[in-house]
Amino acid sequence: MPLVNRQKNLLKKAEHFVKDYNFKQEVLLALQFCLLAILSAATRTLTNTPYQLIMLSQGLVLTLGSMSTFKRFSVYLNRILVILLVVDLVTMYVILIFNLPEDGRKVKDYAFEVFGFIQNPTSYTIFGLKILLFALECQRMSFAAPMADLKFKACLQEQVN
Amino acid sequence: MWSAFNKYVYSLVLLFMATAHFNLLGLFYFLLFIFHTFAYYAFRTTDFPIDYLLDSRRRLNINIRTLFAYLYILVSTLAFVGIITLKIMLYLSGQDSNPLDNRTDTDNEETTWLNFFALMIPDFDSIFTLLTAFVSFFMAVVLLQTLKKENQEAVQMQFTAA
Repeated sequence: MPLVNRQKNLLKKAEHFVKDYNFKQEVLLALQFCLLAILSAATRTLTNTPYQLIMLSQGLVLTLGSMSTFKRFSVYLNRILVILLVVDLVTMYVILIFNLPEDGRKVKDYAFEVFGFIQNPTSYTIFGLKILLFALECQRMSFAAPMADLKFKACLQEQVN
Repeated sequence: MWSAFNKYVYSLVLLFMATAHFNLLGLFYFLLFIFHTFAYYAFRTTDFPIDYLLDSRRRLNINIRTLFAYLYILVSTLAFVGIITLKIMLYLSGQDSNPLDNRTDTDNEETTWLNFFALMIPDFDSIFTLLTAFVSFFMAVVLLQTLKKENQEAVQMQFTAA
């Protein structure tokens, strides 16, 4: 009798953990969507194009495919976004510390056009948004695996069945 | 309590160090911030409840955080010692102010070596820079001590379980 109770408790706990995992996964995904939307709408520079493309592809998959396909797809996008953000943030920081956009302005024609097109000089807000997105993406990595991909302990599965 | 919040505290400290000094020293802190975010947010070291249900625990090997702690203490020690050395060099060179300060005309041949080192931390002369470098160094020491304590506790738990 106590063994049955213990098994019931274990199952309840397992159910709770799975729900918690799913909830966190979905909240982080929704937050990522919001931040990507803000980031995509905030500037029209060339460096923001990848984020707009990622946003667009996520929207397409969500519209055309199922939720599980979307979750699986967002795992790959998550890794791409993390790499993209690391490169982008370091480049942005270097541009900010060396004041490259201002230098580009001083030199006429080419430099101004290049720096103006690639990076908006007064983009501290974008910088902050990208830092937030990077932290969020890293947090998402620990909850990225879709439920179907997780391999639960055999004994637990037997109990569930 | 501390272990629950320490990753957020260190994120803020590193971000503050990176944005308070927009120079090469700040760049090092910014790289550390990225490394810290990756090590502390993307992976979990404490057992997350769902890990008990899985065949293989999705836990991070502790090495990446230890590596971060050593890198952090290395950078903050170099920054702290570097700022003090630059201050001493400035005093020995006989100058009254920072050679990179544009408001004063202090650029001469005798102090080119000082100018070269000062490029790394152009605002080394200010008390604010020294204070932030000290705080960062202190935080790095605290982090290393915390990590050592956590490792010892983990070993003790393994020993008790065995």
